[in-house]
Amino acid sequence: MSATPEQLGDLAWRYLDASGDHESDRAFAQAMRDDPALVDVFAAMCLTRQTLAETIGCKGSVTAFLESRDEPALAIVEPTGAGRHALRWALAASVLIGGLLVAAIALSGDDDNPIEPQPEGRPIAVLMRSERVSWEREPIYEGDDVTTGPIAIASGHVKMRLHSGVSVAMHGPARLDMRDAMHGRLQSGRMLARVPDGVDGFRIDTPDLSVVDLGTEFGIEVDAAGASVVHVFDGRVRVERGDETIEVAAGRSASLVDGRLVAGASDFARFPEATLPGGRLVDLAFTADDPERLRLRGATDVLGEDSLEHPFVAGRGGHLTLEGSTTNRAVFIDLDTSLSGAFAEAQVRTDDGHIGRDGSRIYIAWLMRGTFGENGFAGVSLFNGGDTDVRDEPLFIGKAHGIAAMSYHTEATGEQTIDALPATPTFDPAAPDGRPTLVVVRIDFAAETDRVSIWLDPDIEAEEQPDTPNARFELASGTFDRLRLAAGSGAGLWAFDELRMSGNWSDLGSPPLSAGEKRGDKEND
Amino acid sequence: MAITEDNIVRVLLRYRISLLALIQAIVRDDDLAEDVLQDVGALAVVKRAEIDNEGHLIGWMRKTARYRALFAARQSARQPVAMDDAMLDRFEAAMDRMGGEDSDRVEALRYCIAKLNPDTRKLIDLRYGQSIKGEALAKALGKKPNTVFVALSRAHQRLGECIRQRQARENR
Repeated sequence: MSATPEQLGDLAWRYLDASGDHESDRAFAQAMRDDPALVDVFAAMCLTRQTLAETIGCKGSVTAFLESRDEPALAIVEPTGAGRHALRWALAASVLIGGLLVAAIALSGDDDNPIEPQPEGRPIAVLMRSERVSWEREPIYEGDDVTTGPIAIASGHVKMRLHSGVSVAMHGPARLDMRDAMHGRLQSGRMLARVPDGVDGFRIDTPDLSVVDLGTEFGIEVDAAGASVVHVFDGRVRVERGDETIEVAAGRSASLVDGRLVAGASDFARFPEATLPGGRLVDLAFTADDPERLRLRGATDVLGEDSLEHPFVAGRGGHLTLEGSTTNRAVFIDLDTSLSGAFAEAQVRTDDGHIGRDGSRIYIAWLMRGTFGENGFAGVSLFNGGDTDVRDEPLFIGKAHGIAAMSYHTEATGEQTIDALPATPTFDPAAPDGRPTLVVVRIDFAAETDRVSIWLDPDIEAEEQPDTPNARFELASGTFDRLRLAAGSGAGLWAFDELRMSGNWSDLGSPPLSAGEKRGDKEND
Repeated sequence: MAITEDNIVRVLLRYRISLLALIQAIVRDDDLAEDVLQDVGALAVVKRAEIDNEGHLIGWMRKTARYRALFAARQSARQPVAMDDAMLDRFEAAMDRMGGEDSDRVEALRYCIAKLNPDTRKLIDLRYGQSIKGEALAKALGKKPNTVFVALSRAHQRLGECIRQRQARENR
């Protein structure tokens, strides 16, 4: 007589859990012998049992397993349940295999940390840079996809660009659990995030509070006890703790003191190696909130809605219009180098916080469009220490007085036309009127004199062509602390857009594509 | 070309669950199953010159796991091995069919386990989260042992089927 399904279930489980006696074991074996298909059912049951042992057993409960949503499938480091076995197995294997598997299973570089596989979740970011990193799991290499789940580093720092456009840097030791490209949980350590215009709702949770971006650059530090401090370097964030919410502006911090959210001063020194991928020191798309975000002052009432179109520059936001027919109009951008990690990375700061440290290099790019008549001037200037005195303006680039062409001015050279050769695919020196020109300036700061190189309409998505600028000259001192965009003295109407500044040529262009984007995949976040 | 230590590590990490399931079905002891898996890993390193590629390696590991588990079960003499060679052949073939990497199965489990009713979830919690087995599990639930074993068996079958369907959908 064949067993009922209930009887078989009872027998199978008694057998699996070794809870039966010889009699029930024999009965179970006989049932499988009578109906070989039961072996398949039993095999499936064994597989499920082992999967549960390795997951629920490792986490301690179903709830913990579900909450650890993006943690690795097989956590070797959890010293409970099946995880205890896994750890024991990894360590024992390392001994048995005499150092061969040791390197791969239990050691990461020079550390004694067991390696966990990276979680196999959805790709949400591209690793842009890793410096002196000791990974607590399998290493992720530059250019690799970063998937949902925990990213844990014991030391060093990594930078990644999330598919949402947000840039994130982590400083080890740190553990960040990314749920998707817009939401993560910093469990420990320090991280920095820069959220570009147009990306709303980026959120980082910590053990004791939540930070919601309101268009900003911010850093978070979570100490060993799980206490968090949020530092805002640009824009604003909303910090939440239960029903309590505060908004924190640039230059301020927030933390929990005696159970209450308390604001203080931000401290960028807490993020000494803060370097964000694609880190532009200035990134101005001339959107409505740029005046506040970028310390932009002057004629800010003339922001146009559309961006200028150029073959090598993806336009965003709006543009700036300056009417220089009858009066001089100008906009200044004050560069507070203490407020951004990108300045720290570029290492361009002088002792007094200006830009121009000896041995450093900086790139500035922008689009400008207008009419090249004999009269007037329109362009971008470096200023240092003041706004009006000509001695505070070491360099002007654009359309200089009396020159109906792209030109520059320094105290030593006076007005000079920029040689349009070697010609670039889009720049037509004969007729640039009404067409945006992309200007890229590189300044190499040195102890004696600084060197300036200028390119007109270069392909900023391609590699730098350092030997073929359209102009190159020496400058007594190019140190500056603010930029001025101006038009006046009868220059007519001029438009400016996409003002960018960085420490690298490659950071002037669009951020690198992720593997998914290269394939043309759609973002599924 | 022979496999490397890296290949062995990768396969051990990717197929740990299915290898352990096979070993455990034979030895029926978690600690002993872990010991056997260690042996298999060590043997793979010793024999790596004879193994051509990762596909060959996983098959080799299943075979080796089976025979090392049988050997360990006989050595321990705690319980006789209930499955004969024909059953083990079929068992192994079923494991091969259900194959796939552990991480896929765990992801599918995450989806399936969230759908469990509260009673079954509690059962799974006690059995795996708190490692309560056998009569003690029945006592903790205030039910008869055979009722609990049948419930466990059903829960595993249901989860197993859900995982299988989920994996099939993901791979479609």
